[in-house]
Amino acid sequence: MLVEPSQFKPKGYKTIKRLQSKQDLIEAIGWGSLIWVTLTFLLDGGANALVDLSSALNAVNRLSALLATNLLLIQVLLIARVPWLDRLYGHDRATLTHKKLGKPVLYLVVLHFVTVIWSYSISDSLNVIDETLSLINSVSDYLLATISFVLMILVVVTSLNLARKRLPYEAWYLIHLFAYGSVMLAIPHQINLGSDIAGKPLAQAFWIGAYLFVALNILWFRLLQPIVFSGFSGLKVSKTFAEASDATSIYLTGRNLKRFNAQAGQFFIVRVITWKQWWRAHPFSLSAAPTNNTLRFTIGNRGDDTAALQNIKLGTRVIVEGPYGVFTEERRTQDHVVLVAAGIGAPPIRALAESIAARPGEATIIYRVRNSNDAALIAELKEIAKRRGFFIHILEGSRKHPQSWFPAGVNDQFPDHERLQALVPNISKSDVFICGPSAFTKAVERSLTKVGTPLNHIHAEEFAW
Amino acid sequence: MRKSTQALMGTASLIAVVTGFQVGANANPTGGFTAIPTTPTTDPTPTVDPTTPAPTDTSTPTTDPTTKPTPTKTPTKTPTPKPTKKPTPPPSSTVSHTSSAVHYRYGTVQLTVTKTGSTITDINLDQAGATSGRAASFPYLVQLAISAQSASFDTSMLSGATYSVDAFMTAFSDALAQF
Repeated sequence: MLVEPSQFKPKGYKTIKRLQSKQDLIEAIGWGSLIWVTLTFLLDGGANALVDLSSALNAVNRLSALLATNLLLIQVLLIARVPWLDRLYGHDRATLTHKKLGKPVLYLVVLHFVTVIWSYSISDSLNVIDETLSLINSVSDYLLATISFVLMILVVVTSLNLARKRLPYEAWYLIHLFAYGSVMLAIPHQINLGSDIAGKPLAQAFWIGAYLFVALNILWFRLLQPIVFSGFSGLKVSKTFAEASDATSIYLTGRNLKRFNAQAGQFFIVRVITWKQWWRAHPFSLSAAPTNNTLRFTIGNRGDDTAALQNIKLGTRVIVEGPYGVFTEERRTQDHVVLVAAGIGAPPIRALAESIAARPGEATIIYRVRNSNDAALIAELKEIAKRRGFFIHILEGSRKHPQSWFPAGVNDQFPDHERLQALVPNISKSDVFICGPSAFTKAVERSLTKVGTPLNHIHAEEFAW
Repeated sequence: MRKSTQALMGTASLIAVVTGFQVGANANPTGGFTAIPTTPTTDPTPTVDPTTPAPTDTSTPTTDPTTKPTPTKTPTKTPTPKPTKKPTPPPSSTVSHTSSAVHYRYGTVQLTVTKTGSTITDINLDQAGATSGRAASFPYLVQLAISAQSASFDTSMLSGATYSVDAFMTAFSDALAQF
């Protein structure tokens, strides 16, 4: 049972141009907000009358606070998986930018904290420790702000690569939730005491508006919408099926699933509502084009408790967040398309193959497997290729070189890109969708660059968690 | 961002920051407190919308905020606003009590309350320290306190001076408690 192919018509580079204008708009707004807060600070005479060390430090403290708060809100929004950002950047790029902003935000917050204490201690003629204690003791907002500061350090330090590798995911995740606390505890001292905010209606409106905007986006898209949509649809586990020794499919059924507006190639964050599992959510890729009453996910049996999900009781309630990801047909620019999967990267490729708009001969499926007798979804991919008139190449066996992504065997004296060119003669004029482990994806991308496929024809989304 | 957008944003930002700096160089660093002009002799409860920044109130007899851009705990003497009306010859005795000095984030507040009979006739600010223009709130508080004749009155129109207001209220209540 396959869905009808989509009615998508590739529009060439118009698609990319339109996408870029939207991205530019969003980035300009983000950048503009930083300029705006700097401007309000300057217009207020913030960089004025810097007569001594104390007043200079005070100016640094004000500006660093404004920039840090602004960047922090952008950072929170980036990780909130709001659809209007996700559709433009994809989850991986948004996450990457979120990570990149972590350290600058921390530096600015530390700068703010240090300069406040230093500048006040000079004007109060106290040592820094007494000054800190007097601030914390005299004004409760400062106590909250200090707790917020400590939490922020904790959140960033546990997210540094070094610490991240040593911490179990759950511990890191729980600590990372403190970030919300940190953001909120800092609000009172900003609104009540901030030299650039307190008593300034325009600034107050701007900041309260910014906080509300971010908060409502998170509240709706991350909390309420998943519960409401999943609840209204009555999403339940209707079937599980072992696709291979290392992959399991989970079928969810519900009513009116069109409301999620999901596309083949996307993923959902799936939360199974049982006593043990409800607090742990997993990213699952759709392995079939979504229909109005079924979502099928195929997951690799590895890591924490994905194995336990195979034995899930049928009828268990499920809450899904999403759909996420830009690994979709929307990004296509060309008439010809090549779908490349490796190992557990097969599910989104299988879903794309099912619904992609292509006439017979316009699509090619390449599936890299270790052993074709134990490869998830291989039979389905073959069936789709047969019915839709797509080319399919199963690349089976172990590699000849560690750098190669082709198996050893016939023609293995040729480099990868020549073997690829031989398999797909018009590869340089095709859109290529790649899904697999990141080393595999990179190897395929290298071959594509060599055969002359432009970068904006290459679509890959990494599932780095 | 594309190169062209980057160039555009970069130029616009540069112009904005430079202009901001130039304009700001002539601005007075203001504090958080927004002075709201009131006419206490005719209208004891000001009804001016606190959300609109009031035009600079030249009549406000306060410390000049321009000279105090940084917080300082040095008790700033404010020109003491005396009540405009001298009390009518006292039918009963006139008593004054001075509050203890209230230290808070932006300075120290200490005041002397004078009662004639059971009527508060004068509040003298012995110490009214506040930085960044927050001291501008004290004369209003004195007026409000005298018209309310107690420590319970609405201070919500004095935006941006929460801590100065709290310190004033503490000192005021302390003085009242001594009667």
